[in-house]
Amino acid sequence: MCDLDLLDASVHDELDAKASHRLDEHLQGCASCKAELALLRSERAMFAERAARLARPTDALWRGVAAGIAPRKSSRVALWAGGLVATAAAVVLLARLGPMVPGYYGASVSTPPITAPGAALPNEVDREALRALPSAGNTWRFNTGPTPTLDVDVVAGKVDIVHGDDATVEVSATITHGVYFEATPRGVRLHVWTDKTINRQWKLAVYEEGNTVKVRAWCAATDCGDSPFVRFQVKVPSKTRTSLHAISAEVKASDVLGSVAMQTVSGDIHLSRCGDVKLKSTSGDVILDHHLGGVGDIETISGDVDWRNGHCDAGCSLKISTISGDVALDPDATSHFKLAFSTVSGDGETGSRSSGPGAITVKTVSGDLHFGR
Amino acid sequence: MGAQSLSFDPRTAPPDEAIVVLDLEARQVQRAQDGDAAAFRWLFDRDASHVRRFLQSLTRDRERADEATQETFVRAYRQLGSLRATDRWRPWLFGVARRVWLEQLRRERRDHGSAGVVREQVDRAPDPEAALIGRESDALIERAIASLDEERRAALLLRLDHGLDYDSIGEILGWPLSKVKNEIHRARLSLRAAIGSYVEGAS
Repeated sequence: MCDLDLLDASVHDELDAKASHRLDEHLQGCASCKAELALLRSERAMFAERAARLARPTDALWRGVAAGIAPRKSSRVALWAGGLVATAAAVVLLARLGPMVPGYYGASVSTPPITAPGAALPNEVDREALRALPSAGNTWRFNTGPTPTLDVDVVAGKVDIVHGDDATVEVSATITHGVYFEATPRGVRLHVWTDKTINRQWKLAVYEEGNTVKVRAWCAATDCGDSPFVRFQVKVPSKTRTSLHAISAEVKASDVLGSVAMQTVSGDIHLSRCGDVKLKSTSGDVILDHHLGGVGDIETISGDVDWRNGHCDAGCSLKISTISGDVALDPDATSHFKLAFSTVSGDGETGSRSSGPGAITVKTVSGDLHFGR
Repeated sequence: MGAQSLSFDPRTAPPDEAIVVLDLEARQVQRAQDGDAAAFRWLFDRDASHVRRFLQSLTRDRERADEATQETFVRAYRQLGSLRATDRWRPWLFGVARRVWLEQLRRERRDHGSAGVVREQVDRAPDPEAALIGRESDALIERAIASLDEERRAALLLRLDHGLDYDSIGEILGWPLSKVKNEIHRARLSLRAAIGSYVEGAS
C-alpha cells in the first residue's frame, strides 16, 4: 500500500532532500507507487495547463483595487483621475524602457505564461520585486589586499571583470530578469532572499573564504526554466588570480594581470590585456585582444579562437587546440615567434614566422587557420 | 581546472548551513503593513491571477470573479494589520477571498430570492465561454470541477491548482486536518472518475 500523503507531498515539492531520497529508493521497487505518482503528476500538469488557459492580464483589476485602497478623504472622482495619471505615467515609462530591453519589458504587457501552479509569475512581477529591493544590497566589497583570488561559478548571464582598486574586490550584481535575491555576507555566512512560492529558484551568493572572493549563481531546484540574467561587474586588483566556470554566461575580462583560468560551455570569452591565460570552451568563441607576454593555453571543441592586435615576443608561449573551431591570428609586425600549425583536414599556412624566441602552436582537427589580415 | 568536467557542479555552491534563507514574501507583507504601496502592488501582481482563478472556479462567472478579486484585495489591504504571522499571507488572502465569495453568494440569494439558487444551479454547468475556447478535454475538466460540491471543490483547487499545503487549506476553510485530507481525497476520486481517460492518456 502506497503512502499517498508522501507521494502527494512529493508532487508538491514539499519533501526535504532526505525524504525525497528515501521515496526514490522505494519507488525503484514499487510499480504501484510509481503509477500513482505518475497519475498525481499528470493531475498537477492538467491544472497547470488549465491555469495557463484561464490566464488573463490583471492590470485592469489593479486600477479598481487602487481606487478602493486610496485614502478616503479624497473624492472618488479625484481618485480615479489620480489612477489614470499613474497609469499614463506607467505607460510612458514602459514606452521608454520597452525598446531598451524588448525581451524583458516588452513581455510585461502581454499575458504572462503560466508554467506550473505556484510557480506562475509574470515578468512584470520581477520589475516590482526589483524595485522593492534596496539597490545597495547588490554591491559587495571585500578588503582583500593586492593578490586575492576571484572564483566565479555561474550558469548564465554576463560577467565583466575589470581592474579597479588594488586592495579591494568589489562585486555588483544587476538583475535584469527573473531572479529574486538579496544577499549580505557576514564572513562566509550569507543571507539570501527567496520567494518560497516560486518553484524555479535561482539563487545568488557572493562571499569570502580566506582570501578568495566567491561569486555564485545557481539553480536551487531541479529545473529552473529560463536562464537567469544576472550581470556581475567585478572590480579587482590587477594581480588577482581569476578562476571562472560558466555554462552559457558571456565573460569579459580586461587588465587582469594575475593568471586567468576560465571554462565555459557555450558562452563566449573575451579577454583584453590579461596575463597568463588558460581557457577552455566547448562551443563558445574565444577572443583575445591583447599583447601576450606570458603563457596562453586555449582549448575549444567547436568554438573559434580569434587573437587580434596580438604581440608575441620573448617569453610568449601560446598553445591553441580546437576540434572544428577556426583559428585567426593577427600578431603585430614586431612580434618574434615560431609558429607551428598542425591539422587533420583544416586549411592554413604553416611556419610562416620561424624566427624569434616566442612560440605559437596551433592544433586543429578540421578547423582552418587564418594568419594575418 | 583542466581535469574538471565542463558541467556546472552544484557542490561548488555555498554549503546549505552557511545560508540563511529569508522570506521575501513576509518582508513585502511587513512593508505593505507599514504603508508601502509598491510592496502591496508586488503582492497583488504575484497573487491576483491565483485569487481570480480560484474565484472564477467557485463562481463560474468571469465578471463576478473579477469583482470579488478586487474586493478581496481592497479588503486585504484594509485588514492587513490584523495579519500577525506575516509568513501566512497566502492562506490568509485565500481566506479573505473565500469570505468575499460567501458574502456575494448570500447577497445574491437575498436579493433574488429563489432565483439566486436557480442561478447557482445553472452555474454548475460549465462556463459557456470555457466550453467554447477549449478543446473537448478542457470542457471535460471544467465539467468535472464544476460537478464537485463547492467546499470540496475549493479544497481541491487550493491543493492542486494553487499548491497550498494541508494546514493552510484547513486554516482557510476552517476544517480540521483530517477533514481536509479526506475531502481532497474524495474530490480527487470524483475527478478521476470523471476524467480518468484524459488524465491517463496525458501521463
